[in-house]
Amino acid sequence: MENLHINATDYTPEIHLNAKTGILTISGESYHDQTMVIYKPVLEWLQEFLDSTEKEEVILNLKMTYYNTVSSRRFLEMIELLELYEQKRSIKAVVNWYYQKDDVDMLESGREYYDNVNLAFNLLPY
Amino acid sequence: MSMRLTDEELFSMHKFYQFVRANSMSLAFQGIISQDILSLVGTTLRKKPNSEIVSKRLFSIVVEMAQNIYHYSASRAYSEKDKKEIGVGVITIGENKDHYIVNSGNIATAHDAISVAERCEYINGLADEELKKFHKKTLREPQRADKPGANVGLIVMSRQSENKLFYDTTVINDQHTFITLSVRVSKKLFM
Repeated sequence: MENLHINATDYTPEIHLNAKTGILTISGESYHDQTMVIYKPVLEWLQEFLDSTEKEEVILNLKMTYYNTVSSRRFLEMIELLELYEQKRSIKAVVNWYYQKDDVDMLESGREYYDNVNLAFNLLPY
Repeated sequence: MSMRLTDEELFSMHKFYQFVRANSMSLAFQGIISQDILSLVGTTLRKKPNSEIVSKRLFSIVVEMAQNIYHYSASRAYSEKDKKEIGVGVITIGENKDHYIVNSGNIATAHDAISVAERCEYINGLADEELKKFHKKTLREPQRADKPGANVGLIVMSRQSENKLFYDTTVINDQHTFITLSVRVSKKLFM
């Protein structure tokens, strides 16, 4: 399966989904008003990857500086897919939530995801 | 040929100047509020002499307002970039002695205006922990079929301002209402 790489713009994040390593990284800003333009291919790639991969573990790195509410829903949809496949195919999923160490709001958002999801979830300052 | 402005033009610019000065408005936009404009707003806000967290929150409030206008305003204009009609409205960023104030205004259908007002009332009636739970619950609900948003914009605006949502409605005619939303962030936050 091919990797998926999307370069960042002022209002969309850099996205790198690596099929070989099972490491998926989204970083930067996300406030496109049509989030599906960006996240539809990401969600489709993730679904196909989870259906076909031989990997036993997948890591989702979220290293956002800002995202809007529609993007937060897209992140949740990705996490829900990971939850589903952890049950369905026993692919262990880990979410790493990175936040700038002074950014109390990004930490709080991470905590709320942590409370809401049933996956290994790490809050990592940088 | 006289190149002078008409009295009316002069008067309205003077009025506009007085109004934005009196409300310490640093930014005001009318029309299609594109992502490129939002990205400029972000850059401008980050230069303000307040805490970075407050700047980010103000930016977030502007983005959510802009997106509500983009999707739901009943007054629409053709966007060359999007190749379709998108919503227009106004957004201002100003301040008074105690607060940073982000306002938005747009024409909405009478029906939408009522649902926004009701949602503001509902959110304003919730205590912090209840609002947090409501946010979580709403985010987990399936995407509404005919709506592109996440349905949590107003919740996030209230949570980020740590304040109630102020709003006002002006009925224009049977079908349309002008809705004003005002979000106020205390200058004392993170001081």
